[in-house]
Amino acid sequence: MLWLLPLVGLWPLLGAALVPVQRLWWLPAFGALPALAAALLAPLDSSLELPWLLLGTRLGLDELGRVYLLFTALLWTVAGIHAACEMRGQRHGRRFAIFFLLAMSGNLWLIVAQDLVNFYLGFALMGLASYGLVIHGGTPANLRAGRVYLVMALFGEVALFAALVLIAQHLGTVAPSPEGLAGLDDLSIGLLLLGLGVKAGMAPLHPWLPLAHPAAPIAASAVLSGAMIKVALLGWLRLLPIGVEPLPEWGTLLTTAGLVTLGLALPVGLVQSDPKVILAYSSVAKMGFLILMLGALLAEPALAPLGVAALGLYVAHHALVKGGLFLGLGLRKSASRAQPLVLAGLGLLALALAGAPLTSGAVAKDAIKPLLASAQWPWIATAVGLSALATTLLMARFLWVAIRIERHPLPGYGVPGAAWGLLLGLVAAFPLVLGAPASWVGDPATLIPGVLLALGVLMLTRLWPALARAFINRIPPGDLLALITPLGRWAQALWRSLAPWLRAGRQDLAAALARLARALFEHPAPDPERLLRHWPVIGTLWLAMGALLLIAFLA
Amino acid sequence: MTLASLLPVAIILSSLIPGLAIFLVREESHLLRGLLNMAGALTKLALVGVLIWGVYHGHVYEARLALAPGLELVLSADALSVLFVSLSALLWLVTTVYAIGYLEHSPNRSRFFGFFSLCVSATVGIALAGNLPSFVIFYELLTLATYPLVAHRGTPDAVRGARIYLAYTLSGGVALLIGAIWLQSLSGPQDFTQGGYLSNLSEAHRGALIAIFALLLAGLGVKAALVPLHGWLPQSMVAPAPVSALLHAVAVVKAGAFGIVRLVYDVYGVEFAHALGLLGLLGALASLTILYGSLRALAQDGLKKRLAYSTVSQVSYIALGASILGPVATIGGLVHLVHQGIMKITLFFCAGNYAETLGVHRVSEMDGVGQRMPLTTLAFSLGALGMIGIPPIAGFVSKWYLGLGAIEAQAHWVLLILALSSLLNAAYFLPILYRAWFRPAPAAWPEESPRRGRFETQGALLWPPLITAAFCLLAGLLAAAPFSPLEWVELIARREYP
Amino acid sequence: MSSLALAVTLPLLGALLATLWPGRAQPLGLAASLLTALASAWVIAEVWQAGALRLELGGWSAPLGIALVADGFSAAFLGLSALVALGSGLYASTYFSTREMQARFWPLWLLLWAALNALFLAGDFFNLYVTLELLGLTAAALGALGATPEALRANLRYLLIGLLGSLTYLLGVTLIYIAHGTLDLALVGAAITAGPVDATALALMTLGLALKAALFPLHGWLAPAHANAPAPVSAALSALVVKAAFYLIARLWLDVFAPLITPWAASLMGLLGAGAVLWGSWRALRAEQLKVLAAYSTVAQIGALCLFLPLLQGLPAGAAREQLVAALVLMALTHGLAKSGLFLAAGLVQRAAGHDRIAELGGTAQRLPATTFTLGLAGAALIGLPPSGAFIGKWLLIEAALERGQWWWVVVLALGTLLSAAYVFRVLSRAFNQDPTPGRFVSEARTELPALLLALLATAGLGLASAPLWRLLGVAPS
Repeated sequence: MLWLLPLVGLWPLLGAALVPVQRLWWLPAFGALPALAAALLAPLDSSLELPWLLLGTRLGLDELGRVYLLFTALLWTVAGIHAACEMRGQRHGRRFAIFFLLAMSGNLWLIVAQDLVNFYLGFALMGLASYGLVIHGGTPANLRAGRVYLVMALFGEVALFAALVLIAQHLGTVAPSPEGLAGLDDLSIGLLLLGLGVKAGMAPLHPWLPLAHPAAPIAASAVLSGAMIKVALLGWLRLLPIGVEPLPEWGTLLTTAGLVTLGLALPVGLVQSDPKVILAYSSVAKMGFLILMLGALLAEPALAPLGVAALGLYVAHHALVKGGLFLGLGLRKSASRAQPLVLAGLGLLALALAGAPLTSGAVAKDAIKPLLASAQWPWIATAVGLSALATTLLMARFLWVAIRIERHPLPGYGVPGAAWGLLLGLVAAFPLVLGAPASWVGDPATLIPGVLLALGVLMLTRLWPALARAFINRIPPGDLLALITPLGRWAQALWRSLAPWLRAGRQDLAAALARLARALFEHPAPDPERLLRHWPVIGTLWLAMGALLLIAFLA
Repeated sequence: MTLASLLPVAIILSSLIPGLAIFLVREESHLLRGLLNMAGALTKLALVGVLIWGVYHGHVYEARLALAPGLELVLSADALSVLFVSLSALLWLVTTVYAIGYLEHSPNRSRFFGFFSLCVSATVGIALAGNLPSFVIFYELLTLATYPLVAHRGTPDAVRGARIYLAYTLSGGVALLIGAIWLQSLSGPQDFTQGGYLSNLSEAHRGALIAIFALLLAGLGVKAALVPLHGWLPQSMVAPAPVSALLHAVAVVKAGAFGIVRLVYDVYGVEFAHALGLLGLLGALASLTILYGSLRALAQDGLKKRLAYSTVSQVSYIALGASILGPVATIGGLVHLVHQGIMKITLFFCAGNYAETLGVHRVSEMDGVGQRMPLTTLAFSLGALGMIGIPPIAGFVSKWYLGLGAIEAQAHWVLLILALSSLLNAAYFLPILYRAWFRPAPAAWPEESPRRGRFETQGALLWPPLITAAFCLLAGLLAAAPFSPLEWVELIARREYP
Repeated sequence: MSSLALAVTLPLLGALLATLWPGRAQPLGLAASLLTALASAWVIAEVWQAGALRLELGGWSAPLGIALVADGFSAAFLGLSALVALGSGLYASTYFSTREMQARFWPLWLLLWAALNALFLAGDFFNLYVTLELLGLTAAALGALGATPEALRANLRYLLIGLLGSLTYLLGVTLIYIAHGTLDLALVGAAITAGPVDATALALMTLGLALKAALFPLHGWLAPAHANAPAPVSAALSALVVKAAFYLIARLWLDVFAPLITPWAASLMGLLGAGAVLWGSWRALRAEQLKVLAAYSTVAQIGALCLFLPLLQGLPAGAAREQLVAALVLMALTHGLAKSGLFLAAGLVQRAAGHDRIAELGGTAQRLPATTFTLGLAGAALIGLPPSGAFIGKWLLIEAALERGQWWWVVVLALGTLLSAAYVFRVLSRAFNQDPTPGRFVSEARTELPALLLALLATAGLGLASAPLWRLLGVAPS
């Protein structure tokens, strides 16, 4: 079934090419089907070599790749159904479908790609096509979000390119292997962290994320926050020398970065009022948590076999849940029927995200415990516990906002609703399939205080509404960006005040040159040779030249 | 004269003879002129096919003509010449089709196509030149043949642009001439030799060799538009689109870059040039040009001007590749000779289509052109993304190998240049794509042409950019396949670094 | 009868016949031209085979008799005059439309040709003087054919200056005769000593010839004389008459008096040449009229040829010297052909437009593609762009300058090249405008083709197929 692998990327591409055909509006829904098939059917750890393609292509699936392909394809399919139904007949709907399929192709392709170039190809395709998804709405806010996204994504891609070139030089080939990655120099690792860090929303590279994910239409937000954001972790797991050699300094750095991300995203998320922004900050926080875990893995190679699997499980859980939350929010906004069910589903997903017992969250948390236990600093466990508390609070805040959301019911959300239901089922079945009963309980120690805290906050704001107003919306989405924007404005002002000077200088120079040219060419001087035709002059020249010649000959 | 020596001559004549014949064709004889054009282009392509096959199998093709004592006109085909010859032959064919479509209804067609063919003959001559004097001869001929093309429109602007072009190139030509003669007076008459032929000169000539390199580089740098010798290029944008395409992708700019490659590899020898400390100079100039060209491109509103500054920047990748010691960087630089050519010609074709079909000349007028001309805009997008270095388009391959080569040579700063350049490229290309695809189209285009075929514009204008855009894609996608530009360049590198 | 004698007598005979039958001047003139050209070709063929020819007229040998001699050097110039005279003659047969003009033109024209051939073939100083005098007279008379007041005034000045030049030359000849008792070039060459007498003689002869060759700063007469003459005459004046004087300078300096040349003298000539290159090109650039431009470009070219002298000074006989001399000849020939082509084309432009003011030539230049093409080809040769012969000449000149360490001449040449490119393209850029497209390439074959062919010979012929010339001059190429 290896032949399925090329189809994983080609099929959505073909779909993108066919989108302009009017009758094929349903294409986005079926784009990820070959990927789903490949995830289930393709043999593990064997690869398809296409030496003539690009700089030598190798496609294949390993354990981690299969997990990624599975949840990514699932999420894209559900989101695709949502997108196809939502965009049908809409203005620019087909343009959206094209970019949706292109991004899908890139996302799936980089999972099955086993070489650096194809990974980068998928990454770049996904990154650029997402721009089309982010600015789809066309409002000034969308465009701003798109601009911020594109600039940061390009920085990330360029850094990733440099990192990949360095890695390729280190490996001597474009197909990475764990042994080959041993001894990777600091520059490569740094660039790799930087390049993928943008996509992962690692603080301080995250400001684009709370802007861009909410700006996109719901289906796109779901895949952006659910599937695409996870790609960074896949890249790190594949390209860092994990399990080969200890890199304690880098481990510490990543741990710190993860903590900072957590510490920044959760509080800022809590004071947001747009449910999509809340979800986006929650994604940033989750990525922070994963980065923290990655730091532990990097520092301690012995944890690798267990840790990678745990991270895979956690990522899959988060992708499905976060995707489900976004899609559910979309249904909450637009679906005309079955709103209680939608709310119940959202509640379930929020609980799962908070790690409530019997949910996927509990299983994922349980799997990741050994990593946490081996963390370098003992207080990290405390910090993580606090973050879990904050997550619970954040989800409560999300539900609160989602319930009170302003609704615009539209017809035609039956099929997406059903698909969402299916996704919910998968999330619900997650612990049953993948976790031992012992793990079902999870860690209620943070959940219950969290819920209590949330209730407390609710009471407080009911009593003193001014208290809520003092906090809510005090920090704009994209937090750090607000600090940078004035800098840009100053630079612009500076340039605006300098530009006339420069322009005037250039014009002066050009005018002076033109004057010179005119003086030389436009007013011919009276013939200076008239003099040479006067007989006395001729005679003098004749004599002088004769004398000179004579002297020269006799000298 | 044997068959083997006839082939290079025939390749030059295959465009020279139709070119001269076209001058004599009456203005109204569209058919005859078109026939001559296409016959020449197709013959050349066929001959180049034979040449590729022969050179791949190690055959030697060489023709010699003594001009004076110590001065020989040598035409010979090595792998490097084949690279350039096949690029020009292929793109000439496409450009001819495009030019026929573009200039169908404009005046002075016989003059235009005559010089057009002469221009290609000179370019091919540059590619096949087997020693420095021959190179100089064809290099100057190229200047002469392109001048009428730049001035073709006959507007005061065009004449002015052509004058500036000439002032730059002829001054460069003089520097090149003096450098070439000086070199010959030191080394005696020599053919281009893989690995260079100067390394056994005595140490006493060190200073002279550095000065000569500077002179030659100044001469070549004018056409290759190295900063600060690039001033002519944006000015010559007044020429008709096919000329800009040819100038930027194949003929003039490439001739300079190709000359730099010859100079570094086959005259000085890359190791000897490195030992003289010349590569640093070249690398610094190339890097400066890459960044400066991109920065200037950012500020241009004229589409062709923006593309012109982009050329300034992109062509220096070739020089950059030549300035890094090691086979991988060589590959990166050389393959960009082809890749930049097909990408830039696509962009210029598209710019020509916008101008000819819609009267759109400025970036600020491009809102929504993607909806009116989707296929052209698709081709444009491919070219632009390739320039940025997005895989799987050709430009990515060049950048990848340049980066690899730089690391191999411990020149990590090149990575920074590449990264900055990619970002700047994105900064001036992506806004165009954004306008074209996402902005709403205006109610009326500046000057919409009444001629329109079955598609968005005439077929002769539409197919060439689509074909070259397909080349861009294929050159990247099939980079590792046999006879791809990359594979051919690897062959050259293998022969250069034994 | 010998080919050498034929080359001189045939045009003389033609001139005589054309004078006797003025009504048939044109057919007679054309026939004589053809025959003279054939005779020249015969001379060249013989030199090609034998290397050098010598004919003692009337069987009297030197020092008593007079001799005609030919070697590669003179044969090359003979060929140049044949080509230019033939081409210009053909052109003139259409250019001068009235019988009256034809009757006046042809005898003088053939006389000029005879004088040129005799000058190139003369073997003694006195004969050279006679031919110089004859050349000056016929040239001035031809130049005044147009009979406008400016033409008359300019050519009168030309005549008088030419006389001054010939007399100065004659003074030198007298000194030689007093010192050595013979005027035969070869005998004098064997007898000269580095004394004040010979030096003075050489100085006087050079001075006289410099006047006739319009060497800077004695060139004041040239521009009005050449610019006001009818086009075919200007072509011959610029391409041949001036070159003939330079030919003689080169003969004296490189051959007969070679041991006398001091580095100072050679540098002086080089310096004057440099002045001519820069000043002539600059004046050409500033010229308002096409023919004035062409005339000043002649001044610059004589200067460029003079740059060879300091490099040849002190160069021992051998391959290097022969090559450089051959490069000089190649450059002179290219300039001659190109300049004649340029003047003929300029004449056509002038006739079509009614004037030759460069600034207003636009439409005319575009209407006459073949003529503009000629201007371009000739211009390329004048600039010294490849593949013209001038390019090769320039290459060898620069190479010699660098090898001898006299790099300053290279700077002069580089500047001259750029200036000449500027003035040539100043004209050519007029051909690009928005006037209507011409229907066909050639509009009048009988005038346009000779000009085109001459320019083509200068650009492609002498550049790519110069091997026979090297062989003629006794240099093995490569």
